[in-house]
Amino acid sequence: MRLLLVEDDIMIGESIRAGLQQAHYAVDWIRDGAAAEPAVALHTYALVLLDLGLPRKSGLDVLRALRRRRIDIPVLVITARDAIEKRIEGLDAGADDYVIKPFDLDELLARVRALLRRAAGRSVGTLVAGELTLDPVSMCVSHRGSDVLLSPREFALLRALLERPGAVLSRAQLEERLYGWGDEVESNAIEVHIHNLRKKLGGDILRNVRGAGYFVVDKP
Amino acid sequence: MKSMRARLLFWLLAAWSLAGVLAAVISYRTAEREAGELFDRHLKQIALSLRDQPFEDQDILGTLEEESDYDFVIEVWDASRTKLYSSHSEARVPQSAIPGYSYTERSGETWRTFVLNVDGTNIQIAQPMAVRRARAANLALRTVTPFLVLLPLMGLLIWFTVSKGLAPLVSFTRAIGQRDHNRLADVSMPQLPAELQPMERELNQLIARLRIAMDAQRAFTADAAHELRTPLTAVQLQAQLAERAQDPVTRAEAFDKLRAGLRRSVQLVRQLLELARAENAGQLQHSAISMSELINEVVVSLTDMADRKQIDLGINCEDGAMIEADRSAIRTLISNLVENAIQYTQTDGKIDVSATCSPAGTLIEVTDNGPGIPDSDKARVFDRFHRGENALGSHTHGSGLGLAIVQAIARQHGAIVRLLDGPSGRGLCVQIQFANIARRQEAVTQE
Repeated sequence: MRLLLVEDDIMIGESIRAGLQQAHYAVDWIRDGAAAEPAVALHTYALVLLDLGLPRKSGLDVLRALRRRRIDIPVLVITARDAIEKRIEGLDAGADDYVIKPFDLDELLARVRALLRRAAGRSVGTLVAGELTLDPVSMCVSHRGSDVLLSPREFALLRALLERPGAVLSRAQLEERLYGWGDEVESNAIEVHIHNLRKKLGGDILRNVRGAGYFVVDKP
Repeated sequence: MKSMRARLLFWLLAAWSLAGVLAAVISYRTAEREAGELFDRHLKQIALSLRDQPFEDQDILGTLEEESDYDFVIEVWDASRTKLYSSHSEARVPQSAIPGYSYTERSGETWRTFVLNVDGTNIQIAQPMAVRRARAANLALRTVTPFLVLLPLMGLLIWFTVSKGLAPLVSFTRAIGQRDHNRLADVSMPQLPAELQPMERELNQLIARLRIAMDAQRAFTADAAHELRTPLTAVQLQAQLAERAQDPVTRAEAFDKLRAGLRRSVQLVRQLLELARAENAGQLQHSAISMSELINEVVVSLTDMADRKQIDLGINCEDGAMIEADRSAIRTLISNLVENAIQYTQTDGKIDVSATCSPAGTLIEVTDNGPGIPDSDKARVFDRFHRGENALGSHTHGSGLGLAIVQAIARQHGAIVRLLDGPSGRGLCVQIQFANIARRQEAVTQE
């Protein structure tokens, strides 16, 4: 799951990025408002974390511009202004949720999960396909009732596929979701992770459509 | 007497009483004069009517004595000064030899006498002056009586009039009483008397000034609260990351970052206090300061910070550079300038601090070879919490207060701040021009 973080403050940006990475999200971090729109246009992000007090172009302007162009990516606004009018202004401009500085890292992660869940049209957090369940909160994966231990990349890959069971994701789409800028992507990395996942979960859960990509079997 | 009402009452009643007394005195004087003429004529008439009287016939005159009592004393004597007649048994009035009117003194009493000489016989009519005075006094008393009777009425009238006159003042007071720092509306009273209107005008100007100050204060507090959230957010996140660190290396790194976050919070709080102090001009303590000494002191305290970025920090000061200023304020000014330069200059940069004197005064310059400030941004960097655009790329956590503090302190000292490009067109040169002492005082008084 690849997220875009737009935050001008280095300390806060570093910390949020580290926190998100610990939760196995791929994070692209930019520090100025003007760069946000091109980034969203260029890459497939599952969610944007948007600070409102940005240099060059304010977060609200970025948000309005995105919504004007009918880009309905979930946006979590980070703001230091706790006045109600400011919050209303942000929500009206198209924010899906907001956190007020200073905020708790766990709360931020919970809101990110909630937004991703809502964007996928689900209201329960746990992702399920057949006998396979993935809990994004505890980061536990279980198959046929027993826990499976996955590497962060494997977890992220499985989570991406489980977002919409039955839907095919190409290798490029998976790479896009798994790796942020600057992450080294080996040419066959996705294949390696799929191979490892099949070993841990059994071969029949992850299917390959030649020339199209991979999907998770919804009904066993 | 503090009460305007009581004072007005006192003085108006005093004036009223004085008018009464004056009226009485005047009427006394007038009555005395007019009665004097009348009585004089009276004396003469009596004398003339007695001219043909046979003084041997005491009976006729006896009745006169009964009626007029002491009002008149009639004495008649012949040329040999033998008393022919006296209206009173004992002689009360000395015999006057001069015919006509005169005053006579007898046993402490003044008498008005008229002597008529008819063929050697003197007829003297005398009247005590006391009688006349009593008559005049009586008249004067009658004049003053209405004043006295009307005195309490006047008092009441004055009391009510003054109260009515002061009523706008009372409602004006009430209107002022309703104002406080949260409700600083203009006082506007359409029916205010002309005498109070200048007061209303001045008050409204004061309120306007207060409003501006309060708004500035509120904006400052809001800004400060807002700005404090940023480093605190960083600290909170860093603390949580440190908590979660799995291995000692990550944990050590996380704690380093946490410490940096705390340093930054502390710096922001310190600068907020410095700015608040710099904007409050009341507490300056001027003394003569040697700039080279002070700059040395500041630069030494900041060498560690410069060393961390391998910045070459140098001084070039003329020994004679002196200014008359508040030492701790100027120290804050210089250290903010140098800190700013260190923060915004890249690693391996160069910063020069200099102080030079000229007839115009003392010039302090802090020059760096960092990214500089584009002209479009130069005016705005003095706004508090404004961070320069070029600062964006650098790895810094400026509070955006440094130049605001510098500006506030310079203004307090009547000094001028200039932002120039560095000598080679790169970097920034901040100049603080202190006027020489005489000019500085001029500048301060003009402000």
